[in-house]
Amino acid sequence: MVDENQIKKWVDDGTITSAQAKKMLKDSSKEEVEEKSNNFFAIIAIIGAVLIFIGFAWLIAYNWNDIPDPLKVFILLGATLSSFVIGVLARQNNHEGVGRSLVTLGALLFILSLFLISQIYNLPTTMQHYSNILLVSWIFIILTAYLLDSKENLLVSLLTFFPWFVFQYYSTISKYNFSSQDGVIFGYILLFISAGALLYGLSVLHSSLKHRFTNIYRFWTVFYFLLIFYILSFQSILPILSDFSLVPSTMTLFLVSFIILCFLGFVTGTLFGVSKEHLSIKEILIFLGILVVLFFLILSTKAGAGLIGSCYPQNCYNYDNAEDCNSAPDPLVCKWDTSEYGMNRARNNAEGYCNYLSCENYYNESACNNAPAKLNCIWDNKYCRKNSNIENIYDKCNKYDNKKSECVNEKACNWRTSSYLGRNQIIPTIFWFLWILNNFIFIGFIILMIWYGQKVGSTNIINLSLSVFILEIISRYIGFWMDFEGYLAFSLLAILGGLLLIFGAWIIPKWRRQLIEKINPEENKSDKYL
Amino acid sequence: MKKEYLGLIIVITIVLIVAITFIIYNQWPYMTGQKIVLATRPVDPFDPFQGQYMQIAYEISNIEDAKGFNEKDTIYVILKEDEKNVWRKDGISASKPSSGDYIKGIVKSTYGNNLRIEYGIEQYFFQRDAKMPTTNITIEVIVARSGRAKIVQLLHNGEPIDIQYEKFDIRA
Repeated sequence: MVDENQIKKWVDDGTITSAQAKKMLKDSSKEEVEEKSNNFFAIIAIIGAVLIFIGFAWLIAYNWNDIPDPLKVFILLGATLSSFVIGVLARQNNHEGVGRSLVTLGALLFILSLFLISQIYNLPTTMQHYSNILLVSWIFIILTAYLLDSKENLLVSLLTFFPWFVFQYYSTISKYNFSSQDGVIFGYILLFISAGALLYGLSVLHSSLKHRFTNIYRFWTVFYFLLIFYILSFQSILPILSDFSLVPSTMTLFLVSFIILCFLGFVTGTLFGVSKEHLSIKEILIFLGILVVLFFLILSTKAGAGLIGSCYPQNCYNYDNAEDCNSAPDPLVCKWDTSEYGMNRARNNAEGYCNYLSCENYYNESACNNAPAKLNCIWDNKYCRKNSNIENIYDKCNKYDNKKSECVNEKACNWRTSSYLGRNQIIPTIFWFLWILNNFIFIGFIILMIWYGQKVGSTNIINLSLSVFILEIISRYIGFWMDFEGYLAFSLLAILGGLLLIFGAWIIPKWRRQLIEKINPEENKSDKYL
Repeated sequence: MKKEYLGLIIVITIVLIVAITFIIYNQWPYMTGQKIVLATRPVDPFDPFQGQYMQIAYEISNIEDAKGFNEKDTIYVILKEDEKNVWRKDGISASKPSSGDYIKGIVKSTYGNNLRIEYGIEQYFFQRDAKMPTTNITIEVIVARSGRAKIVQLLHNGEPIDIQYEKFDIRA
């Protein structure tokens, strides 16, 4: 990018002639147009690569029997290798856009090749298996990113990295501790915050090494934390988070190792940054402050734990052995069924099925009168029905809605934290308070990121932060539409929305321009590689 | 040699190493193992990543009266052929038997002395909309000396199943 003011100053100083200035401006303008055009076609080519990937993925899902398995592998591996080879050759021959897209296509086809081989050998459809495939994939793709200098592959690798650790953690806990949901929530909180710290560490490490991927790591680190704050800005997420607790059995070896590795990545990055004087202690402290604030926001949801949720009856189907089934707590009446019907419905390889007993199961007066006492059946002319004067299990449990402690003390009831904050739901004050606090902190974080974008000279970070700011306003606005009802509220919101849009359309481009103008043009060049 | 070409050679080498290792690892039982037939109880789900498949529960997926095993333990189920040429459980062992036919599994869950075991052969993939019988199915598997098993084919009444596929249609 050429600074027109600088050229004008050179002309005024007599450093260059006005003819030279005109030529410089004309040439730079051509260069800019050409660069924009190249970027446009690169994006088109990458969309093409993604389409090819989707096409192959559908073919694999279809498992086309007419193609022999070895030929399928040959086609996919051949396509993977060809993409890499042609991609590198295209880049060498100045077809940058096409080359970049083909290298990315190679990475995507590699993932598909692993899934195809899994299908051919009938490998398990378990989380652990997917996690293994994703692990091999992201390690391979990050290698291709560095070896072939592909920023797109770096992004694909990051996008594969996140589902990998989510699947891996899930597979390590689901086998043994699926019931410990509270601990799993805490586990995932630790995983995501650790991954954020690792991203920041890598960003700083690359910056201190003056690596060309610096801006990609930096941009995606900012994006990642903006996304976390954005998720926290929704009121409905707070009750779910409030369920977290520290359950030792969910602190799996994988989780602990992951946290340690992320911590090491963070420490290495920051140490490099400080030693090369690319990073100030102040910036590290600000980052640690952000982590502390995030932890505080998440942990503070505990204050509202058990205040939103439904208390519902235990289900006979939940019992998978005869003893528990037949001794289900009152007023639940269950019977262990080992008939052919029961065996056909048996779950988890149980030797029977725990079925409901109800008065409707008894078709004559004598059977009705002899039904188990817990059922409280009475014969009412032609059919057997429950004595309606007796409290039923739904009434018994539903009265503990939004009261977790009472609900869990009732053996016949189960507690389920609700994320739905419907129109008729009375939202506890603590969740209103936390929601407002989260949104204020979110806006504060956006402003911090705009400042950071200016500091590191990244227009992309500024643009991203402004976009997220607009998204925040739109999200809250839609939230109000959903919360309020009535003609007056709708009309006021519509007017307010219209004013916001007009004001936003006027102020935001102006604000954006001012912010970008403050960036040193030389620093801004660093975004070229993003 | 240019840096990019060196990178390309390394990438190609890794792709080939990963793919060939993956294939050989899964092909190994087919090259070295012994064929046996196991009795089943199938169901039929769909996996979004890998397509249509049959979820297979074997007779030996549940074992009763097995003491001393915990979740995640490796178990060897000793097999014996019956008069219908189906291999059924003849015993269990925590260590690899020195002789005889056996298959290696992992204990997925325990209930009292009952075990639920997985052998890594619980899925069989096929083309979408394929038509095949769902009763009286047995599975021909091949078992390496290590006990690791792979599916060879599905049998219906002891005979290989001729899976009927819909004719190719671009709208399929």
